[in-house]
Amino acid sequence: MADPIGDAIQALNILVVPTADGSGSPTMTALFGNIQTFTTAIFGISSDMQKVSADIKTALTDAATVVGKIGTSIGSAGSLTDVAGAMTALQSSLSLLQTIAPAGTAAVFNSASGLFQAIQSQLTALAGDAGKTIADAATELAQLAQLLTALEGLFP
Amino acid sequence: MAVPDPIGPVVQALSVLVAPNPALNTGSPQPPSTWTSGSSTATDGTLFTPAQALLGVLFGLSSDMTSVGNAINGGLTGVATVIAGIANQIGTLTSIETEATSAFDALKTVLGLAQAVAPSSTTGVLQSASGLFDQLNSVISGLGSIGVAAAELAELSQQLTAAAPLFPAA
Repeated sequence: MADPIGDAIQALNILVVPTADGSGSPTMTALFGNIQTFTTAIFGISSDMQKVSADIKTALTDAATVVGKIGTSIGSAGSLTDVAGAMTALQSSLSLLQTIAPAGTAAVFNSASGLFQAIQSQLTALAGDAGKTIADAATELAQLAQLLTALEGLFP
Repeated sequence: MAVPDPIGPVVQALSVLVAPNPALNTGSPQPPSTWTSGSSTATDGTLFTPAQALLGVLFGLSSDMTSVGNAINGGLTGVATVIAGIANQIGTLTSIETEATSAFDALKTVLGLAQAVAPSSTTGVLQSASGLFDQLNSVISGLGSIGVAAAELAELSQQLTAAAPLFPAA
């Protein structure tokens, strides 16, 4: 089975290369500078574009934080299968709650359920990839968080 | 399946009102500044003068209509400026075309992945950003090269600038 996180990290290597354990600062390539010049100019064209860029930067910060915390957390868990199973249970429970909860809270449960489903899907893909362990998953998530943080530099 | 050229048909359709000046040499595309620098203006098409007369009457009927005409004029001018800026910047990537398209593809992929695990409040923004890089690659692949993409965007910006006076300015 494919490893979507590893594939994304690999694809990004032409722009930024993560450290081996996902800590510290990644290495920017020369192409990163070219693309940064391009995106800085594009998002500086108008005030609307500047706002879009600022929103993307904030979203990347939030995504990097979430991915980094997931990576840290699962590093201390038992196995990828256990974690994926727990995510499935959480997702199922939240989906059930969503159907019987007051309307005002349904959106929150829906959002949380979707998040756990997405994480479970990624972890299941990793667990199915031959030789991938929970340590590999934690490292890949740390590297992805590192890269997402680095990509903030593309958005002024 | 080949991606159709998304800009060429728009440039062609607008040519009955305002045609790019000079015409694009697709075999060896001119730099975007050919159309965006202001050194040349679009050529009026056969319908420009009749359309200008008609729209002048239409948007002069009432103050409300005049206000709408002003807004369209301002909108076209603003969009033309943005498109010219994008054209000029895409033109700077001509010498690193293969690397740039690979970078856009990687950015689209990783932003899509981040969207899958990000808090729901941020997914719309990440989806938009991923879509932007996807769109850039679609335009480039549809046109065959970054040079042609930049040139066609520049042509379009020149046409929109020239079309703005069809609507009364504020």
